[in-house]
Amino acid sequence: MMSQTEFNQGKQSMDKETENAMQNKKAGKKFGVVMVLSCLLGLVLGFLGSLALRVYDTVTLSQMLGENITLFLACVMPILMTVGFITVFGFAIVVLRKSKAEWKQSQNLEDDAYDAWYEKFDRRLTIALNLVSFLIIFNYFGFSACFYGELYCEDMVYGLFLLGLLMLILTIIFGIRTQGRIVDQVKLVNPEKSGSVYDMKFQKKWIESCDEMEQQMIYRAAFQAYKVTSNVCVALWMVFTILALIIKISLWPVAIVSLIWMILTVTYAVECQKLSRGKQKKGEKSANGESAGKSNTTVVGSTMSF
Amino acid sequence: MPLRNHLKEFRARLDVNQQQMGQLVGTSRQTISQIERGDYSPSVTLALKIAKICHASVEEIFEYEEEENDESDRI
Repeated sequence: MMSQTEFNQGKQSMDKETENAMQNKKAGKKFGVVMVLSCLLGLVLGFLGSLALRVYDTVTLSQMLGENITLFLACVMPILMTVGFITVFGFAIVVLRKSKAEWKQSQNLEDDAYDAWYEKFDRRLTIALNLVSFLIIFNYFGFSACFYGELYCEDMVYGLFLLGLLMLILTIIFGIRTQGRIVDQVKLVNPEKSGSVYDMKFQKKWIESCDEMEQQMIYRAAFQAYKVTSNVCVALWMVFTILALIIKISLWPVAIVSLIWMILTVTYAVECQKLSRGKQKKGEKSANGESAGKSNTTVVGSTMSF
Repeated sequence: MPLRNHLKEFRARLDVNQQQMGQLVGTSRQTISQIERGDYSPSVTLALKIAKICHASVEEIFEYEEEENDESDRI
């Protein structure tokens, strides 16, 4: 005969199954509409692509576009790199000087006034830091454009290639230096923080010196970055696949996007598994009456994360 | 916000500022500020540390307020 516990477990399981079915049905309708619309869009784009194939010679078009775009970027990028360099580092120097001067005055502020000041200080330094990081990536790309131009475009001016190379070197040097100064500024205001940007283990030391709220903020931001990057990978895969109908691009862009997508997904899954196992072990220890150890990674936060 | 707290009053009794309180419990000044404003709910470990420094129990400093739409009310 069925015991009361078994009966309750069976009832709970059935309730959960019904709830799951209802949730799937509700979300499924929206999902179905999105899928149908995506298919229709793909159909239209595919049709337009096939029309383009009849009108243009895709090989010639892609060669023409490829060479012209590369030459254009190879000539324009060194100038943009120089403008970006002057603007971003000029802004960063102003922000650093202003923050340092204000910090001295903030020492005697009351709690609420200090909070308002800190919010401004934090926002300014975050903008400066993000601009520097963006410029470094932009100038890496700029140098690649110059390099490709120098290799494959006959009309490329050698002086522009040298300017691109110089800008890349200067951006890396000034970028690391500025990041170091921003970190030092944050450490000045938050004495508990430790780590130097010139240290190979900087990220590890920095996170270790962050408290639970700051760590939580870093993990949340990292998850958001994972989500956005995953969506961007899907979008890029679609763009490159559809683009192949119009321009003869090689398989390289799709391969690179797929590789990044795979690394992202696998790293996330493996880390989840590791953390899940760690949690289980802690749970077992707790069940045996032992301490769960240092597991204080909860809640939210805001401040600078590097 | 379901978690209310009296940290500011307890900190005033100790006569320490947010920076000093942060140093005592091993957090940043910003974390203390956010806890006081109710923008951040500390972990059990941090709540216990704060209680110990304030010579009070966790319940004296932190109060849990059931929300009207709380899940538990519907069960």
